[in-house]
Amino acid sequence: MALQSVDQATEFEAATRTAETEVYLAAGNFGTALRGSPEFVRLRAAGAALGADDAAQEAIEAFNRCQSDLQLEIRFGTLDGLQQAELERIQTAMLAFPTVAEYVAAQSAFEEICRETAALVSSEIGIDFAANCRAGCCG
Amino acid sequence: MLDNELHQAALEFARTLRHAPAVAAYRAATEALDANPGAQALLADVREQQSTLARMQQTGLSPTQLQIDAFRRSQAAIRTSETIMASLRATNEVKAFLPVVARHLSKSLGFDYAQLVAPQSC
Repeated sequence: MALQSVDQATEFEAATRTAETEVYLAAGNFGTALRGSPEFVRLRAAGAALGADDAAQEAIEAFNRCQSDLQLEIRFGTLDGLQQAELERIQTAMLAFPTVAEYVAAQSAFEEICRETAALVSSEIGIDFAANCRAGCCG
Repeated sequence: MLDNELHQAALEFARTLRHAPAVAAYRAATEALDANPGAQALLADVREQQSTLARMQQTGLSPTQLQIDAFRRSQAAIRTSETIMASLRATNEVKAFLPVVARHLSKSLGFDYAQLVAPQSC
């Protein structure tokens, strides 16, 4: 009896591992399909163009520096009018670069199709996939 | 709008995921819980007590010993409900499993899929 139980447990574990491996393979195939989507191809092209645009990179760095300097004020919502205006001015200058604007648009389009796929998966499995695919601290 | 190829790939992934033991167990446990009015009542009771205790804490009031004892009894009742405990175990397992699945997806994609789709809750 005991040996049979151990065998059953082992078989169950093996079946579980097999099913999980199939899921990981399916996840890999799905990731590959996402990489082949026009939205991903556009994002990669936009990333390459942005990487080669030195002036745009400087504008991004300037925006990141400003955002970092004002990190606490942004977090606590205590930006004064001058700080807000300065942040917006630098952001507008950054987004005025066509390579930056294209990258932002391409990223947004790619995020949109990723969210659509997550909604499809959620509907199929009956669990909110987007909300549960990140190991979080608040469950 | 997803093109047909991507739609099919997502659907195939979702259907495989649906049959994963952790997901199937979660769905079965959730259905069992939904079909068990006694377990539902126990959960509603403990949530109500939690809510009352939280409100008291926020307003600086201390709960009475009677309230604390009642809460302990409700917690004990929850622990004796196999349906609720099975549901909690299944929930924990699926919550541990889905991020691992998402990591496999992200590795193949070359981008953090969870970051792209998940709401930032923390």
